[in-house]
Amino acid sequence: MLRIENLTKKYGNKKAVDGLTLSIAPGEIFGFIGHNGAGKTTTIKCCCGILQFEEGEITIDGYSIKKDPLECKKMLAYIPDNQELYEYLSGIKYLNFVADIFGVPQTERTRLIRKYADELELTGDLAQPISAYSHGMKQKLSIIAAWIHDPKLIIMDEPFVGLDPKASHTLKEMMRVHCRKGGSIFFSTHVLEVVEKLCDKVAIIRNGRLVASGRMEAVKGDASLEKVFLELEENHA
Amino acid sequence: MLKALMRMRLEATKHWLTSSIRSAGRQGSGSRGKAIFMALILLYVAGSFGFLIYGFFSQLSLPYYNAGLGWLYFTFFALADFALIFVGSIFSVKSSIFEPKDNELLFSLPVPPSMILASRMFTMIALNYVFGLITTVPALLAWLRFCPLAPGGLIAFVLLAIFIPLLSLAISSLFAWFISMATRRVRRKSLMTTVFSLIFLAVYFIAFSRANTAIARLAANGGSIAESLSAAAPLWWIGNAVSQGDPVYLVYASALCIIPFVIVWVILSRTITKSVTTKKGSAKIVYVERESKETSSFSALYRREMKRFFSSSAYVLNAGLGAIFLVAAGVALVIRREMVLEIVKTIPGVESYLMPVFIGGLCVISGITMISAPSVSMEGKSIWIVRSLPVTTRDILNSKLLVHVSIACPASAVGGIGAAIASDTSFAGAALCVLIPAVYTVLTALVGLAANLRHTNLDWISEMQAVKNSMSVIITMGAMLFTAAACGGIFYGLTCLGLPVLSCLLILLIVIAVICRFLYTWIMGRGAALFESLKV
Repeated sequence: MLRIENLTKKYGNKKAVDGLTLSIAPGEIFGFIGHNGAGKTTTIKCCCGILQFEEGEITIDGYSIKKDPLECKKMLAYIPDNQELYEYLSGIKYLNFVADIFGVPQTERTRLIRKYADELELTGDLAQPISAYSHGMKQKLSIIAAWIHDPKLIIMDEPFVGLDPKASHTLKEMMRVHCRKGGSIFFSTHVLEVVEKLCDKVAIIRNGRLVASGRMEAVKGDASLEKVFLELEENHA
Repeated sequence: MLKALMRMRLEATKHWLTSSIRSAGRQGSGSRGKAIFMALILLYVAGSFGFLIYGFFSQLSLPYYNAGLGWLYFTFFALADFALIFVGSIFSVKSSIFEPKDNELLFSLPVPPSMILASRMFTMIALNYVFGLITTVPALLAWLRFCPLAPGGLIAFVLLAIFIPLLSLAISSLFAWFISMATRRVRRKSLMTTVFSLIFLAVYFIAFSRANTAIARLAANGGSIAESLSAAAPLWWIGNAVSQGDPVYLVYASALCIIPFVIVWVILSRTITKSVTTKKGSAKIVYVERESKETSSFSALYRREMKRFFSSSAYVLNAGLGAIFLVAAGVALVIRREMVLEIVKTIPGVESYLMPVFIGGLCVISGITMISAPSVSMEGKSIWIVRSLPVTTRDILNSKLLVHVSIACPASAVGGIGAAIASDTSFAGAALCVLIPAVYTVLTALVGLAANLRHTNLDWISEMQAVKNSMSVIITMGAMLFTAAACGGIFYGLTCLGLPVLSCLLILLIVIAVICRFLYTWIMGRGAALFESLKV
């Protein structure tokens, strides 16, 4: 579904991502971890086509993000780590805007908005302006906007930040259901327990370079992911 | 502490300036050259206004001096200075003082609210002084060129040039405070702010025109000026403080400016925490599930842009005022036709060129409609949304252009119809009256968008930084003033060749349309690439 090959992204002379290669198959949940400033967000933004990169190739379902950005974007949904939404719209208007862009039919969008807003307990606030939303409510709205067009690939940057325990649980369930239906999820987080329990595959990045990647059992072995992560951090310091 | 806050504001201004220069320099050419180019544009815009004001005051100085009405000259100066500063800052005070994005950060720090207020007002005063220079320098030069001024008068002039902006800021801040308090519980804050502001502006213009009428009447009745002015003593103090260099009048005039400022500052510093941190909120809007109408992606982008524009009173009032003036001009040309003709005909030799003059005037007004000029910057930090969605950059840019055109073109059509009626022209002339301002409006939209693509600022703290104080807006204003002057020059050249007026106007229309075509091609090519290279 998602293939990143030899991705290199520079900011001036500094390499934020250096020769990164990984792939995510349909039905997989892929966790992406690393220290602050390791290059996670840069990698994610490159995958979504909102950051241009110097070297390498990223393909989504066979389409190149450089050559066919529109085809790629039609298949993916992105949830960033910031909560900058259109504050001048109400929640429902924002969802309808996203649904219009993706061409979600009328009845389908109504059904999906009802379903996900109910699950995340946001239905009662959909008519409110986004400027009145809390951080967690904005995060819930972003999640609904991502799921509303049934994308093949969902890319999320720190998706659990700001969510209450119940919403976090709901999101994890939504992620599992999405992957059971053949979709893929690529997300970054600092919560290693979530990655350990939820993900099929994991990649650890340090200073823009991949230091470990593969199936969860292969990366962590008998140890905990936290222990493996800390050891890798020390070894590559 | 105040020093630290002011340093932060200056850093923000520095960041704004350097990022503008950097965004201009991303084409690969040197940033120094770009900085010089931008400084020249700023000088050009200020110079154009300054030249107009100088022309006005140089008509007054000598006749007033000879008639012993020097005080009246400086009263006019004070009124003009106050008016320009007031109109220039009234729509930015609310968002700059009460609504910056760093409210939560600053009010959580152990900083007295009065210091936060002082640092914000300092920025506004600095801006007011810049506006003030456009009036003070030409007014002083126009006087000194023809008439003497005692050293005491010069000192008084300089001091009043420093104090008048304080009075202007005091009144605009009080108004902003009132709006801020009055709209706390209102659901449609932006709409209410816009309505309040327009009412206030209308009242202000009426009061201002009455002041001018009163002064004109008094000037015509020289013998009883001092006596008659007893009711308008402040105007007398200001005028005589400079013309006579009278220290007593200077003290009165200075107190007139400083005392209201101090009172407003005290009121605001005592209430700013409440106005900024009290969120009374409005009644919760109950969500009722409805089947929404499915639209195309372009239509969704267009509606989003429209909503963006109308949701911000700062955006509407600063960028859309030109459209309101276009409608007002059209209505005035029909309702007050005789009065307008009387004023226009004071220009020598203009009688046979009434229609081109009206069209020119409409184009100048159209050129101050700045809806597209901040439209890319207004995406702010939420630009990631359109960049990550499956929409073409062409569609995004087209939606921005269409919003400008669909708001400003109907307004320019009203102006054009008014011009056609007032100039009593043929059908072909009437068509040109409507078409030329309309195409000029399209040109303004294209120039604005192109300038914003070259000078994007996504890191603004207050909307005003994008809507009003941005490089793209200044460049667009300068470019449109230059274009209007160039069109006037071309028209003059063509008439000198003996071409009929209608043919000259038709040629101008074609020239403007060709420039539009060229700019549109640039925006959809190079401009789209610039949009895609913006840092998300």
